[in-house]
Formats: sequence, structure tokens, C-alpha cells
Amino acid sequence: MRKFITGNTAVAEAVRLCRPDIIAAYPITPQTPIYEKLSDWEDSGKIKGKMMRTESEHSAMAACLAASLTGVRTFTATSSQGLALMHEMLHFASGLRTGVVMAAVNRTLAAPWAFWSDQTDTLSQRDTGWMQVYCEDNQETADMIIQAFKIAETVLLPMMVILEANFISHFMEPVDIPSQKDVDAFLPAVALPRRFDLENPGYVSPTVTQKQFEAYRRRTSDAMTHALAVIADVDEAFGKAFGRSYGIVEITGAEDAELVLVTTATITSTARVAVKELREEGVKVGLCKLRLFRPFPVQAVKEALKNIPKIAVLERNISQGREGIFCSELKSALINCTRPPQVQGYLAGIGGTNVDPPLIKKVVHHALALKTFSDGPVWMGGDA
Amino acid sequence: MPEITCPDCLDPEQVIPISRESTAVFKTGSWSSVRPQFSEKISPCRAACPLGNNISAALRAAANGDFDAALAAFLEETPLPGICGRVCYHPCQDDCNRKETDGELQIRALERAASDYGNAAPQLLTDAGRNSPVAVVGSGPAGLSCAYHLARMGHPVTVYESAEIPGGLLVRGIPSFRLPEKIVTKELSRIWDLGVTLKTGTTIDPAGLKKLLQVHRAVFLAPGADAHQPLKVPGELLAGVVPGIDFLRSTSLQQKAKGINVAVVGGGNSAMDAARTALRAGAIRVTVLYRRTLNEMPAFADEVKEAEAEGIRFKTLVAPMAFLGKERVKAVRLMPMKMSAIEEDGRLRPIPSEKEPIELACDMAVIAAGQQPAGLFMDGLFRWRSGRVEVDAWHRTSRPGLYAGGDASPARASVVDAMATGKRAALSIHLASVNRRVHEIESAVTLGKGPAFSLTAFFHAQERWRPDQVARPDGITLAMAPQHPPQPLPHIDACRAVQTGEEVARGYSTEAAIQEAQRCLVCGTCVGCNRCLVFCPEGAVIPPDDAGGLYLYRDEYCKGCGLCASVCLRGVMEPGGVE
Repeated sequence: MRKFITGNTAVAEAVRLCRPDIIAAYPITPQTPIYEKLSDWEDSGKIKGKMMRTESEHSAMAACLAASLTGVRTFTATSSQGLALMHEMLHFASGLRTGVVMAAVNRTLAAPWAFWSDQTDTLSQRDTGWMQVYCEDNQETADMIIQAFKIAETVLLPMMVILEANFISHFMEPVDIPSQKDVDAFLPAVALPRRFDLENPGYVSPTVTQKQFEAYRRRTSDAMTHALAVIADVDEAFGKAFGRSYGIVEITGAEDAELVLVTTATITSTARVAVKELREEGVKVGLCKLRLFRPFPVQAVKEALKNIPKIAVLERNISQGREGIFCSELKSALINCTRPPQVQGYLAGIGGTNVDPPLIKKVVHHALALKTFSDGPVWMGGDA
Repeated sequence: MPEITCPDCLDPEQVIPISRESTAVFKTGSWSSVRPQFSEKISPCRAACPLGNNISAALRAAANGDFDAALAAFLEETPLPGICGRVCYHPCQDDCNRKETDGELQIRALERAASDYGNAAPQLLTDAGRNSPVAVVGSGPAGLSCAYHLARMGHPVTVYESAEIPGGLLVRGIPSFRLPEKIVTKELSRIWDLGVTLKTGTTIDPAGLKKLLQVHRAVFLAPGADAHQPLKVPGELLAGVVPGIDFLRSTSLQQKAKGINVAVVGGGNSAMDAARTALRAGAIRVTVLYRRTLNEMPAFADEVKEAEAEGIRFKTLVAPMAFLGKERVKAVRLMPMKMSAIEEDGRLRPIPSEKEPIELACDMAVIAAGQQPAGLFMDGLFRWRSGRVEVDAWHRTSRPGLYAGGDASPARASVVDAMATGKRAALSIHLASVNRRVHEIESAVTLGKGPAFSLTAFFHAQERWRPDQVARPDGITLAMAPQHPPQPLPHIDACRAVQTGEEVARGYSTEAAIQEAQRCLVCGTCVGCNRCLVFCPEGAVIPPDDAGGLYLYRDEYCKGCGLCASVCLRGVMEPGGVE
């Protein structure tokens, strides 16, 4: 059924269809409408699982991961400061190989205080062992929630589905909400290992030796690698079931491109317009959309970009002291190509400012005119 | 979706670190030298009760529908739960730990329910008093209480009453719409059933008192204070100006109030009783005249509220200057008053304001502004002070063997406080008869900061009992208790109450009483809820083998976090101190 809804509502609709057993969360702007919607539905009986009102995001994650270890399906949602507060428990969730799914709404991290889109909050959680996928619009967000449960519960690693504050969380778009029957067929009942057993009590996260610790980390690393195949398969199965799939890396206009613009999340949808206009103006430019951040799809990225001479990465985040984080990831993925492309990083939209087609065109023209590529980012944003 | 395999990295047995070993190897007890302490205490309601009633035990029994056991618990410390259950000003309820959360327990109504629905006989404590006969002068609340407890300690007791029926103020002061006669009769029978001898119509004069002292081990003097205290203003002897105590005792006087305007002078319970009685007799209008404000009124708040609901008018900050009229009173002249600034003793006093005196028309004026003991014994047999018999903390007068209590002594003028003096005197008399000194036993029986004490505990003290410790769980702990507002107190409609003269307060049904009693947390008494056990993060709490036993802890695992204490709803588990 097609509904004209916000991204937050789309997340809630998708979560409802996945029949979670436990939802533990703590309100924070701009995620709160997800929590409120689910809470309303719990109250009206529209969802059967239990919602836990925890006293903090840290506790919300502790509750989710403990619930997941009992073998049930768990969901949480947070944003920005809340995600930062969860940090310690995020490591537990992956280290204990849970199947927790989280909707993370990108929002600026203080200070200073603000409420707009900025990817640095989720990218800061890069090394927590969570899978991360960045969504372009409301539909992709809803679809990825459904896929995420299947992926996370298959590879026994938690997954973040990331949507941007305002541009997705609060903007309304037509979203196709699948039927319960179809989702039930795609996503079977949860079958996570039940590690907590009243009859056979155990203590998770016991103290281990150095060698054991290394072995656990090694297996998690293997699972992350393995997850790439699972994610591709789940996407393909989803496409067959619902008529929509997203691939691992999407690239258009690569055949004759002198330059490919690499984008993520909502900037991609605007870039589609800008690139189309540039093509009409005769500029040989292509567009590459990165979705998956962890595991990073190195092979797919290399396959898509190995023959492109110039690349411009435009993004809404910064690792201070370096550059945009996707840009660094991309460079490291391409370093072993026979003739690695030249890569220039651009920053725009940090703090949630709008990245419109004229700005994107400016980035493309700037990159095409470059004689030498710099190692640091080019700031394209507005004034302070 | 095709089958994807990844044998090692997805095998839960290998990838999720879990230990099936016991955590018993972690001796967390070494982390701290602080240990919790299991320490049962008394409930704050009990500490506040002048009689030291074991309220939490009674309510716990009532919560299980066992009104017999509830009554038995009350009878340990008081002979008259059915009377206090109706007329007590319930200081217990003011100290209820639930007061600030969802409302205090309706203890008074539950005491009444225990008496109305329960069946139990008083427990005999000892027969050590069998050779020490005691005479009790006066059968009001103080005398009855003293006789009851003395009889429980084996003393032969004779009660002398000058009136034809026993009960003192209970039958000749408190009107029946507050305390029906049949209830008094039923409650008093408990005392006669203990073998107490009653001699009514017997006035004890000084010679009689000396004689009583000769043939008894002790005499307890509780004649009450039912002599009228005049206002000493002009016109007080006019027809239609009547003493409050006379009005309350005389049906013929009451009948004269029919169809006329009545003014009642005073702000105490007698004034409220007189005003409400006049209204029931058919007075057109009843106005209470009081020289302070409603806030300072000594009458119990419940009674003031009921009087207001029935239509009694209150005129405050006025003092009668004179009663006007030729032969009969026609009006009362009133001096408008104001409250003084707080004086050196911290009290506010009413002082004349600058306003002109006013006149209030009335056909009858009832003076209920205080009573005093009759001057009968004032002949140098013992010492007096400020118009009351001088007694020490254990109610001994200046004359050996003579004890005094009730309104004749400097006690608060209320049923429960009078009973408390009788109970205290009973133990005092008994200790003297067995040659023991009160200071030897005082700390073992005194509840909270006192002066209330437990007579039963003197004979059946439990091990580890700490009567000076009052359970007061903190606000956070109390917030964990599910919230249930009190059961509403059934009353008959004010109109019907005035027209029929029926008892105003209706007791709880057994169902409502059980539900109300179930709200009681049983503060200070472990009920075996196991919260300390469940919440202990180290599994260090050891439950008792049987109900009512002690919760202990495993020294080697208790890390002194105090969680057990912080979840104890009853203030029994204490965080403890350093060992």
C-alpha cells in the first residue's frame, strides 16, 4: 500500500511488519516520532512486542542486546548524543554477536547544539562492529529496515539503518508499505541462538585469555566479510519479493565518464538531478552511490571505479584532522588498483545545510578543472 | 535466497563468548567492608499511637481477611479498639509512610473493622499481680484502660464509678451519633469478662480514698475533668446560658434547643459535640463562637469538617464579653479579636482588635470552653499543680501508692491519651508490686521516642526487637510501591445524619476493609517479599528457612553495594556500616 509519510513513520511501519519482540529506546530529537509511533501501536495492540521505557540510550542498548541473547527480535532507534551515549554498549552488542537492528537518524553532535543532518554521529561508530547502511530516501529506509533484520539475524551481527535528520526523518514522500503477508514470507520468525537458558545458566562476556580474545575478533571479522555476500543475497531476494533492490554500489554513466561524482544518502537523490542536467550540457560525468559503510564493499567499489580517471567525493561529515570519512574509505579501497583513479574530497551540507543542484554542479566543474588533486577536503559550504 | 554457509564465524557455540561456569569463583565480598543489616523495626504508625498499638500486625492480618487476628493484635495494647476506631484523632495516620505518596492508610476505620468483624479474647500476661489488689476510681477511658491492663497482669481490680453506668465521658459526653451506646457496652464487656469488679453509684470522698489506700496495693485515680469552667463574664447566670457538659448529658436541656437560635462558645471537641447535638435537637441555627481562627481550633479536624457539612456556622476571632437579656439570654456581646504576633513562647494569642463590639442574637448559649477536675480531692492528700493532680512520668502522685491519670492529670484531653495514662499507670503499679524499678525496663518497651510503650513486649519480648527504631523507608523506595488511593470512608448523608441522629461514620464493609488493609506496607516488618534476594547482583542474600526468619548474606560475596536496602519497601534491610 502506498502511503504519503515521513521517513520516521516509514521506519515505524517497517518495524511493525517485522514483528519485533522487544523495542527498548529512549526519546531524542529527531528520532522520537519513531518511538512515539511504535508506542502508540503497542498501546493500541497493533504491535504485539513489548516496549521498554529505559532511562537512557545506554540502558536501551543493554536491554536490546540482552533480549537478543534470549533469542528474540529486537529493535531500537536513536540519534546523535543518544548514539554517543550508547557507544560502550554498541561494542557489547557486536562482541556478543547479537542481531539487534537500530534506526539511527543522523544528527549533528554537540557542541555547538543543533538538530540537523550530519553523518558524523554514525560514522563515529565505525569501529564498534556494527553493520551500517546509509539510505537515500524514505522508501529505501523502510526497505532496509526489513532487510536489516534478515541480515543481522543471519550473520549474528547488529545493524544500523541510517536515515538523515529532517531530509528523511521529517520529509514526507510516497512510500510503498508491503503487506504483512509478504513481509512474513520474506522474513521468517526469528531463529537467533538462545544463549540465555534458565535451565543452563551462563554468564555472557566472561573474562577470556589473550588468544581467545583474538579468536573472537577474528571470527567477527570473518562474519563481516561474509556479511557482504549475505547483504547482496538479501537484496536480491528482496528485489524478487517486492520489486525493489539497491545493489551494493550503484553507478551510472561510467562508460565514458571523465569524472564520477561519489555521493551517499540524500545528497545522491539531488545529485541525480544535477548529473542529468550536466549530461544534457555535454559534461561527461557519472554518479556513484555508496550505501554500505560496514562492511565496506571494497571489491564492488573497485569494480565500479577502477577505470575512472577522476573521482570527486561529496559528503556531509568530517573526521577532524583528515577529511570526509567516505573519501578516506574510498581512497584506501582503490589504493591497490593498477592505475588508481585520482580522488578529490569535497565537504558540503555539514550541519544540515541544503546541498542543491547548482552546488553539486559547481563541485563537478571544480573537480574537472583540477590540475592537481589535493589530499585534504575542499569546503564548498556556506559561511558560518 | 541461496544457502550461505560460513561454518566458523556463524556457529553460536564458538562466536558468542559465554561461560557456563559458576561465578562463585569471584569473591566479590573482598571489595568492601560495608555489610547490610537485617533489622526489623516498629512502624511509624505504632510509634505515633499513644497506646503503642501494633497496627502493622493488625493490618497485615486484616489484609488476609483474618479480623480475629487483627482484633487480637489490637487487644495486646488496648481494651477498646471499637471506641478508638470511631473517635480517635488518629495521630498514627499522620505518620503513615504512604501519606506523601498515595494517601495514608485509614487506620482508624480498620481498627473499627477489626472490632466490628473480629472475635478475640484479651491475652493474660502473668498472674504475678494476684496478691496485689488495685482500686480504680473512675470508669472513663483512663480508668478502664488501667483496669484492663492490671487484670491482664493478674491483679484483682475494683472500679468505682459515681454515675449509675460505667464509661465516663464515653457515655456521658461523647454523643451517640459519634459513639453509639451499644458499642460502648460491647467494648466494656471485655474488661468485665476479665474479672474486673465494677461498683457504680459509688462516689469516693477523701475519707473513702484513704480507706481504699489502706486495703489495696495501689489506687489509680481517674475521676476525669467534668466540672464546668465558667467564662466569668456578665450575664452568665441568665436563663438559657448552659454549661456544655450539662447540655451534652441532659436530654431535657437538649430538647429546649428545638426551634431556637443556639450559640456555642468554644473550639474544642465538646463545643463541636454540643453544636451538633443542638442541631439534632431541632435548633434553627447553631453558631460556634471561637476566639482564635479555625487553624488554632483544638477540635479534631474530622469533627470540624463534619460539623461544617451539617450546617453549623462558625464565627471566629470573637470573645464573649457579656450575655444580654432580662431573665433569659437574648443575645451575646462579642469582642472582635485578632491574633497577636508570635510571642516569646512561640505561640499566637488572641487579643482584642480595634473594632467595635458586636451583638449576636441567640435564645440559648452553650458554654463549652473548657472543663476542670471537680475539687473533691483538693484537701492536701496529694499535690496539685495548675489545677491538675501532679504526677511523674509514670503517673505516681506525691502520695505513695496513689497514682493518677486521665483528664484529672496533665494529659491531653482525648480518649486515646487518657487511655495511655491508664496503661502507663497499670505497668507502673505492677512494677511496684513486684519490686522492680521503671527505669530498668523503660528502654526495653518504649516505642520510638516514647512515651508510648508496649505492655505485651514487656512480657513477650521478641529476640532482636528494637522498639526504639522506627521504619522510615526513603521516598525513592516508597515510589516503588504500587499506588492505590485509600478506600473511601463511608458516611451517611449530612441531612439524614442530622434528622435521624444515626451514627455518622459508617464502617468499611469487610471487602473494603481487606482492600484498604492490603495497602499497608507493614513498615519495619519483613514479610518475606524476597526483593533483597532478587535484586542482589551477587546472589549474596540468603533467605530464611522459614517465614519470619532472618535474611542473612554471604560474607564472601556481599560487596556492600546496598542495593538490598534500597529496594526494601519496609525499611528492614539497612545499608549497614563498616564491620
